Parts: sequence; C-alpha cells; structure tokens
Amino acid sequence: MDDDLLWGSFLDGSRSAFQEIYSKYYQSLYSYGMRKLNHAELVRDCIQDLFVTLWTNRANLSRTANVKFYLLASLRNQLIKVSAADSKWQKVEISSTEHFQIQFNPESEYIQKENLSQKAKILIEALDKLTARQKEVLYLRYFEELSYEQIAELLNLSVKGVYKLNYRAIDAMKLLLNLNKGELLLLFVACKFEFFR
Amino acid sequence: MEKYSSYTFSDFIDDDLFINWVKYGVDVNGRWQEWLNTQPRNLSEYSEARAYVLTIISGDVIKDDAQNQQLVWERVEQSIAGTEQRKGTIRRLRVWSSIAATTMGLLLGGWWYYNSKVEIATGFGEHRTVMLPDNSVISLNANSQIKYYRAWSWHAMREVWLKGEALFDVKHLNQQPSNVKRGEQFVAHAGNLNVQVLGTRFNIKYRRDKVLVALLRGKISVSKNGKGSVPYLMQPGAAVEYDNGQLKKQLISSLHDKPLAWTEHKMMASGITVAAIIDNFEDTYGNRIVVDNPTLLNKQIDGTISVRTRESTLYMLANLLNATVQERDGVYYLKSK
Repeated sequence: MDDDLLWGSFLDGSRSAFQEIYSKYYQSLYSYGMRKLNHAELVRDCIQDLFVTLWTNRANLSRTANVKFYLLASLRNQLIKVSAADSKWQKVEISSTEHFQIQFNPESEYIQKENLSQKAKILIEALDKLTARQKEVLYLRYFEELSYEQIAELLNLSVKGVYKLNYRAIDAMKLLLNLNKGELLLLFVACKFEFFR
Repeated sequence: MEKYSSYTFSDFIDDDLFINWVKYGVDVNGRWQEWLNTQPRNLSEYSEARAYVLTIISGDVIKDDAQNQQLVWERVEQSIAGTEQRKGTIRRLRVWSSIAATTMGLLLGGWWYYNSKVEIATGFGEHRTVMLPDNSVISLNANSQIKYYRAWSWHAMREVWLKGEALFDVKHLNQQPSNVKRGEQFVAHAGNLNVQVLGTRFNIKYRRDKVLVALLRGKISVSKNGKGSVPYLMQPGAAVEYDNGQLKKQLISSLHDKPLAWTEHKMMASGITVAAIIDNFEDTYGNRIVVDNPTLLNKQIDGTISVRTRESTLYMLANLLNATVQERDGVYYLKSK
C-alpha cells in the first residue's frame, strides 16, 4: 500500500495500517538509531516509545507528512532526549549528534562487479575521515533517499548548510577520482588537512 | 535524457533518477542504457559519480533480527493497551469526581439556600412594611431589622428574627384550634425571647437589650430561650417586658408609651420620662441627645408627642425642657435657658 494511504488509514484508527507502518520502517529506524547510538536495547526502547506515542497521539498528527521522514525525525528526537535525560545510559555515546557509525566496504558486490575496488578504497579512506555530520548527511541522502530539504530540517541545519556539508566531501572526492596514483598521495595530505580544519 | 549529456559529477550525484539507477538498476524503458550507448562526452563524469554512489552505498547494513522486531511490536501493543486502560481509568475517575463535585455543589448550594436568610432593615427615621411569603404583614419601625428564611416553605415553622421594633399582623393558618400543626405556628425571635403565635396582631419592641411584647388581638405565648422555660400565655391587652432575664407582666393600658403610637410617628405618653423620650429619639433617628441638667431626665410627661421628624421632636423637647438646642457632630445638646 502507498505510504499516503497507509498513513491516512492509520490516522483514521486502523491498527493494521499502524502495524504495516511499523513493519515497513522498523529496520530503517533500527539501522539509523544504531548508527547514532550504538546500543541495541536503548534503540529498541526508543522505537517502542516512538510508536506508542504515535498511536496515542494520532489525533494531533497531520495527514500530509512524509512517513519515513517523519519517523526518522521522531526517532532522532527520541534518541537525543533519552541520551540527554537518562543518566543510567551515560556509558552510551552521549553526544548523539556527533556520532555516526557507517562502515564502507570496498569488497562489496557491485564494486567488485564493476572493478572499482581500487577507486573505492581511496574513496573510503577519504569518507572515513568525514565528520559524523557529513556521514549522516550522506547516509540520509543515499540510503534513506531523503531530499536535502528534509535532511536540513532533520538536522536543524539550513539547506545551504547541508549542501555545503555534502559538497565539501564531494569536492575532495572528485579531486581524488580525477587524479592518478602518483598525485594521489600529495592530495591526500591536503585532503586530510581540509577535513581536520 | 538529453540534459544528462551536460551533467557534471556533482549534478549526477544529486539526481534522484541517477541514484535510483545506480542503486537499484532501475532503468525505465532502457533509457539509461540507450543514453550510455550514444557515448556521451561526459561519460567520465558519469563513471566517477557512479563509483562514488556505489562506494557510499557499500556502507554496512545494520539489521535487527526478526524476533526482536516482533518483540518490540508486542511491547508497543502492550504499552498502548496499558495507556488506553489508564486513560479509561482516568476518564472514569474524572466522571466520578465531576459527579461528586456537582453533588457537593448542589448540597452546599441547597444547604446555603436552606439556611440563608432574607434580611430587611430600615434606616434612621424610616418606616417600612414587609409582606412575608405567607402574607403576614410586618411594619418595621425605624432602625430595625427582620430576618427570615429564604427557603420559607422548606421550613416546618414560620420564623422571623427581629431587632428593633415591629408590629406583626400574622396570618392565621390554623383551622382546628384543637389540632395545631407545626406549619401553622409562627415564631418571632427577639433576643432571648420567643413569641409563639398562630395568627394575631402584636408589637415587639427589642431595643437596648429589653424586649417589650404587647398583644393587641388573639393569643400568643412568650418563652425564653433554652430548655425548661415555661411559656407565658398572653391575653389581648396584655404586655410583657423582658429585661435582664426577668419577665415582667403588664397591661398595655398601664404602659407609659402606647405600643402602636410609633406607627403614626407619635408617642402617646402617660407619665413617660424625658429619658425614655430621648432613648426613643436616639433609637429612631440615630442621633444622641445630651442634656446639661441630668435632673431634667426624670421629668414626667403626659400627652401625645409627635416624633414624625427629627426637627419636630427636638423642637418639642426643647419646649418641654425650656432649653436651647445646639448641634455638633451629629449630637444635640439641650441647654437649659
């Protein structure tokens, strides 16, 4: 079923639509939560709270929301609230906005298939040096396929700021890709310099 | 697809169709393949963008196992059930508490209505006639006050509380004298004295801690507050003075001041003292009178004195005492000439 229809019948009180939304987005939410806050049980708690609130508060929700964006944004708020408020989780990564875990793999199926492993390794080395914010932008853009406008809203940034975050990465990447190996080392130093500024 | 021929690396990696194509191999009508077959000039830009997107989506997949997903769902359902049950309980509690509050309000309102009294008072020099809910008529003298229950018919007995002086014309409700119902009784309270009647005409003067009851018609019984007080049954023409706990039986004809003269703004005196006239003046008009020669106070006076206005009363007093009147701060000073 289409997200709009699903959301609509959920707002009208359909429990099955509600469950379908849960099934459809649980893994997305879990994945995003784990990348920000590496603590499975806490992330599950947050997802639970998110859906309980969603159901009990459905009378106040708007019909036009982009479901995935709405859920991710809600989870993000929940994660920040929980990690800030709950002292018993203090061992967990507190600065949730400054943590984003993603492991790139140069041996992935498609990369190997297109003989891009060499290029990918260099790229990954650069990607790994990105800030948590930059990684989060890339993740939301290419994994969750949110628009820059939505990402900006989610991260409390201006759209311009999100572009800037992404292009800083892209510019460095583009330079890397266009250079041959001899020049690469040189640039790499410059690149590191760029990211640690 | 024409626009893609001028795309740069940055354009490609921001393009949703391109991302879809790289990520999922989505190629509507084989357009991407067709475009690639034309050997576009920006093919290197395209390839680099493709490598970039493929590298990013090589990021690890984080998944929870299906069992946990199911478990969390069950927790969601349990929690919702709990919340809704709690809501139901709260709603029920609210309903009950509002019922309780309304009942309390009604009870308090009813209690207030049952116990509250209508209060009618006259100012100095003012007379007023009041009709009670049972059509009994009370004429209030100046500087007097009556109270009776707002919920007149809710109470078994007709009851009136008096301060000052009033003439009662009580409506007779009793049909069989041998069987007097409680609702047919009428009680006038004046200080510590209770005047019980069925229907009659009488005057009560309750001033300066003294109560004077004068019966003009019918029968009344007078009793003191408290248990063990023996009611005194009065006959028409009788009067009773209650002072300092003592009942003094008298006859209206022997009173120095006729009980109903006040209703005509007069004092009909036979042997009344100047002191009594001054008391009456003070009770009626609220102004004090000071006499410079105290022996004058015991002077006795006979005849009818008009007390219709403050001025005429003062003029009469000044004449009687052969004195001049001076007023200062609402007090009248009578000085012997």
